[in-house]
Amino acid sequence: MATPAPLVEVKGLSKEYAPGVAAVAGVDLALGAGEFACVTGRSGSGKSTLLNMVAGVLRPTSGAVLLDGLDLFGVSDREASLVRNAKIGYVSQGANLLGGLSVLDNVRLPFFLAAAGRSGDAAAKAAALLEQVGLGRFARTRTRPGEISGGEARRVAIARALVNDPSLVLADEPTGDLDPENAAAVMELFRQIAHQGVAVLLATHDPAAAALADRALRMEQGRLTECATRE
Amino acid sequence: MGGRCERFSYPLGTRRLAWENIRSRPFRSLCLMLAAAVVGCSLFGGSVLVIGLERGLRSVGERFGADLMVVPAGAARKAEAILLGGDPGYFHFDGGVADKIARMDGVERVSPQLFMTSLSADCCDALVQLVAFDPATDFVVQPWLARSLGSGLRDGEMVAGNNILVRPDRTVRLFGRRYPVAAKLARTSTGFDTSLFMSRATARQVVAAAQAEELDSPIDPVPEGAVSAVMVKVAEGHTPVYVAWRIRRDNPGVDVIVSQSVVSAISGSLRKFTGRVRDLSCAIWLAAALILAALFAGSANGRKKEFALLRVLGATKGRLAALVLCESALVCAAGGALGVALAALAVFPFNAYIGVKLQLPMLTPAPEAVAALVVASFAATAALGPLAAGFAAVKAGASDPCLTLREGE
Ligand SMILES: Nc1ncnc2c1ncn2[C@@H]1O[C@H](COP(=O)(O)OP(=O)(O)OP(=O)(O)O)[C@@H](O)[C@H]1O
Ligand SMILES: [Mg+2]
Repeated sequence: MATPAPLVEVKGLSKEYAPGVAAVAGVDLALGAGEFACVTGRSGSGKSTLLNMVAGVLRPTSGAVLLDGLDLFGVSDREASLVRNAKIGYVSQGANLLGGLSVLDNVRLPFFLAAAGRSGDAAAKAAALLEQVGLGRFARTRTRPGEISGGEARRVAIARALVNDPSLVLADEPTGDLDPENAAAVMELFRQIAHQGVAVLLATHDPAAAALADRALRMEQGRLTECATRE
Repeated sequence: MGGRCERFSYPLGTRRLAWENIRSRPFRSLCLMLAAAVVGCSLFGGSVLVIGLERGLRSVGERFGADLMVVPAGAARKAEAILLGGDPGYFHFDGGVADKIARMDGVERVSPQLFMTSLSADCCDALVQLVAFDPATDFVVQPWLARSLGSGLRDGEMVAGNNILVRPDRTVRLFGRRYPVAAKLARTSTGFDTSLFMSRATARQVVAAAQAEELDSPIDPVPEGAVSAVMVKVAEGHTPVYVAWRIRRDNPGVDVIVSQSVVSAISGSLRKFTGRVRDLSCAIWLAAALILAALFAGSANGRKKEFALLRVLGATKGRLAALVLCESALVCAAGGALGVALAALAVFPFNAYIGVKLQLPMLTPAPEAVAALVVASFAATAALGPLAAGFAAVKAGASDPCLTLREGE
């Protein structure tokens, strides 16, 4: 199998929250379109920090993140924002839904944050995604995020990450508060997305989940190592 | 399923996001809106008041008509009360004065008027001022009567001030007799509103009839040839004040009212009052701007997580700023509309009462002026929102997107 051209290139990425203490230290990573990679590691090893930087949300102390050749921290804030909106789907560690909007509106929110001049309303798309994460019933009600469970909120956030057809999906502990059955369904969804040519990078403690990925990466004290590459 | 979710498929643009946010914080939004309503109310109410008073003053100047008004010595205050305050009264002196004044240098025209009062008119519950003019020489009453009448006043006919109750058959009853009313005047907010105007000949008929009826409250007998006031028009090139001084000097028994000084006295007190109203409105606007700025900034602080999330999802700084500005504009526009409506409800029905309280003539501004004031007050209030929210908008844009990622649920 030919190595796909890297969609994401992480070069010498480091983050020091306090001077001299590196939460992430010199990480290099290349991720191709359609690749499904999973980062495991102890709590506090730097997984979330790495994902935040790859998502273009946390400015690294040094190093660069290239998406489709574009340096996320080298372009204007506006350009980076638009790239984030159009190409990156990020399921962060907290579910972070907007309490004032319905579940369906939360899912289609990124659609409306895009650069101006978009037609359509993404309602059908959002409904289909909710269906895929097993929450189709919320597509037909005005349910608010405050009225659903933590695991449901997590799945809503996953649907939201996919609504703009991103080329890179990042997910931090996406199965953390799910029962095994739902966790498996969510992992299967990520697999499918990867099969459609999307690069997927997960962070998880769950070995069962990690086993489903194509590439297993391990984070230890801010350093990333490749465990094995499955065929 | 498509059909069923159509109900929820309104686009989620900036305006709707702003609206959802307003809705999801009803108490906060209501308070902000009421604060804006106070501003809208003070701006609109204040400006209607100011313009109404200015208009009232202009009508006084217009209706006064003569440059000078010569009255018996000691009657000046009473005469002013008749003209401005609508306080009916009467006084007279010998009409020969008119001829003497007419011959003076610097006097262009003179015309005598006679003032009488009547309680027994059944047109009104208060005293009515009867004003009789001399059709041959009059230059004060007839020009503006002609404007509303189109023709002169016939013998026996009267013209009623705005507050005089005219019967459906267009007559007024005075001392038991009916007299046809040729026209009813527009409101002036001056003594003219409670006056009945007629020619000298008609006045004589009224007096004769009143005496024949032998009423409980007989009309005062008016000596033949007596007048209450001599209206004077000063010739070009002469100053009214100087002519007034000469009239006073040559006629020991008279007082002279200079209309310029009457109007300027009112306009002086008016200017003081309208200045205060203007200052107060500006102060309220400014105070509201500062308070709203603090409230918006505070609420932006409390919404850091929400802004951070929107940033993570790819909202640009400009988008967040637009969201905050839109929200504040919606709230302040709603408040402005409410405030203007409340002010209209308070000011228009009690217009006359307010004028009486202030002891200043007050007229409702013209409809176009009112419309312009509505638009201007509303716009100034709605603009308050985005102005006050400017800092909050910048703050929202600067939200650290990582905030949302750390605190979790
Ligand atoms: N905003 C921050 N300021 C200071 N230190 C931080 C900050 N965020 C994370 N850290 C520190 O950086 C290190 C890595 O944290 P990170 O959240 O990336 O770990 P993690 O691997 O995601 O852990 P977990 O599995 O518990 O989510 C930790 O030691 C943490 O205390
Ligand atoms: Mg983490």
